[in-house]
Amino acid sequence: MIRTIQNIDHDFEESCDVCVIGSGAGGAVVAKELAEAGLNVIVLEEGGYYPTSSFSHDPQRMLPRLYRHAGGAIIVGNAPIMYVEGRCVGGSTVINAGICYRTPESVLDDWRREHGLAELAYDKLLPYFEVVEKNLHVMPVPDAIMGRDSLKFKQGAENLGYRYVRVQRNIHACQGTNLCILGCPTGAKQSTLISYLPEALKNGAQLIANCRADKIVVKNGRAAGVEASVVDPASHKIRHRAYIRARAVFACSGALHTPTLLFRSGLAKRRSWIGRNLYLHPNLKCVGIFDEEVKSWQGSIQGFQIDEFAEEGIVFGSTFLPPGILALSLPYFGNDSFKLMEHYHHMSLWGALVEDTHPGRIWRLPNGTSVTTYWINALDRQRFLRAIASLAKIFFAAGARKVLLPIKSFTEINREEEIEQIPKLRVRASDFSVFTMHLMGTCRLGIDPRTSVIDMNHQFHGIENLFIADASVFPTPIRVNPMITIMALATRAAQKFIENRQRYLRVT
Amino acid sequence: MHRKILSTLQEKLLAQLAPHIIPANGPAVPHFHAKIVQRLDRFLFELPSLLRSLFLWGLRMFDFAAVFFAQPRRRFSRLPDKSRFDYIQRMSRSWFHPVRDWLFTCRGLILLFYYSQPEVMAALHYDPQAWARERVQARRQELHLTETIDELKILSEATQDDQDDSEY
Repeated sequence: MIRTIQNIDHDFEESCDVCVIGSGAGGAVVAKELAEAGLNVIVLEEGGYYPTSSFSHDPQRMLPRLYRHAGGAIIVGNAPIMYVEGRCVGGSTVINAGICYRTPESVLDDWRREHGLAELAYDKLLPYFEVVEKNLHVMPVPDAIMGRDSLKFKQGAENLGYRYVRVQRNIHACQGTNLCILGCPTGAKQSTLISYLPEALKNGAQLIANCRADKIVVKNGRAAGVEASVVDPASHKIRHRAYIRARAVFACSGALHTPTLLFRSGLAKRRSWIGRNLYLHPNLKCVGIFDEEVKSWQGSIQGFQIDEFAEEGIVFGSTFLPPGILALSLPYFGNDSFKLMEHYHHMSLWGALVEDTHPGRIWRLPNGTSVTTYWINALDRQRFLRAIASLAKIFFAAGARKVLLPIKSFTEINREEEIEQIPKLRVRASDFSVFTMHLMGTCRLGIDPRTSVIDMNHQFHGIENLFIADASVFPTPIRVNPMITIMALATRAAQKFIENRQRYLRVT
Repeated sequence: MHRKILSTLQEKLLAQLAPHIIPANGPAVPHFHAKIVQRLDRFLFELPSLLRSLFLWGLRMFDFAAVFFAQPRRRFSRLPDKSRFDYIQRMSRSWFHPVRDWLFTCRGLILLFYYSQPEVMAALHYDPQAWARERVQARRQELHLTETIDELKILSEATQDDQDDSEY
């Protein structure tokens, strides 16, 4: 059953075995697994319910509906970093590009060696990767929907001799509509909205949308339930209060909001690592302009990734944006902006994902919210320049005649020879236009309660029936798109819970 | 309906700023001033309160700082058109990055709105609605579907926004 603000007209209380907070990559998986195991599950989702049939090509309409703060959220520091996060039923899986990668073995080796997480070795996680990939219909992007921009990208890689891979995505009969970031209107992208959540509901789970979890109530050292508010998305006013009595709680609100919820619940004083260790895979985008039409808005949002520099923590991929969103990221005013945008069909947008080396942090504010800070260090600044120079090189190798750069003091180059200036630029962090979709690490897994927030079973240290299963659990950045990792770990967490349910669900 | 964020003065300032952000030689958008102010108000409503306050404070500073950095030395709201444009260009190159970032944020919001207008997209020969409609139909044919996909059956009526919402 699903309830939204439309059919909630009074304060209410509910009881369940497990309350899951969040319906994205982590929460939807947990809800499905536990509901299939016969448990009574209630999922709370702060955002609204928007079915596939309501998705539109218009960013003005979809950004306020599907994105937290209409896509205008900022991380503060020595450079403002825009971050985007889904806030709707299905979470960020509704707005992402659906790129599916297993956690690299080198990352899992690092987790084992540096963090003692031997249980998360690749061979131990493999069954979870496989089941998630099957449920999401993960497959390589087929040739039939490969856009011209992806073929240009591949051509650039081949001309330079760079190693590249065909991207895997969670798609079923994808038609290359390339509106993924505004919600897939065809239903091809297998977000949790159309994959895991319907399965959870079929098995008796309840989903309450427009319902923000305010506090996890802890009594006698155990989670007793969740206090929540039903919030009107149009006015942001609280319409009703709710209390969900639960025998166990899974917090799956994402790397920013799970720690914020823990702060509000008074649990942070027990664990100083809550909110620390924030990594975010800074993303930098370049736009290339070709003489011929490329029409990057047709075809799969991404077809290939260049992983030639993966061991250095840099990967490259293509993507594309509707004109309104593309224009806002280009550094031009007035007629200059239109002169550029007239070449929309000749443009390609390629990006670099950089594995960051220095963590940020989430800080509690007195009003129950939080602020996120992140400083780009000198090493990462140099890596940004290296990534931008490499992207420009790939563009020119693919035949671009102009490349627009995400550096405010050096915005474009028109000849390949100009690339060599890029690594030598003396730039501040604030000169870069950086954004991110991959926030992680703020409630990290670990075997030592002094340096982690949850244990190997995703159980909050010190509270037996409180669990976390989202991107906040990663001990380190993972170098690749995180959806499959989140879902595999959430599947494992749910399975561990089911195996030990007698212990976790004892009545207080 | 959301709570109105912008005061009359702030609306006027943004309406004065917007024509210098959008292309003067680009496609005209009917009732642009009224629409942009309404859109910006809606967007600002969605921002976190701290960020919203910073933005509005930045707008006020932008208006007053023209007394020091524009010619003639007047507030932005009292400058002639040409002087407004020159002042904006100067601020966009400021070494002080909060000024630059504020202006680029403003610019971004206005251009997001402008380039999402049907008239402007038509001038770019970009028709996402027709493209998406065609792709939706193509997938239905491939999978032999006869109905729109609504994965989760909602027990209540659709929201006011969602009624007759399907475009494809």
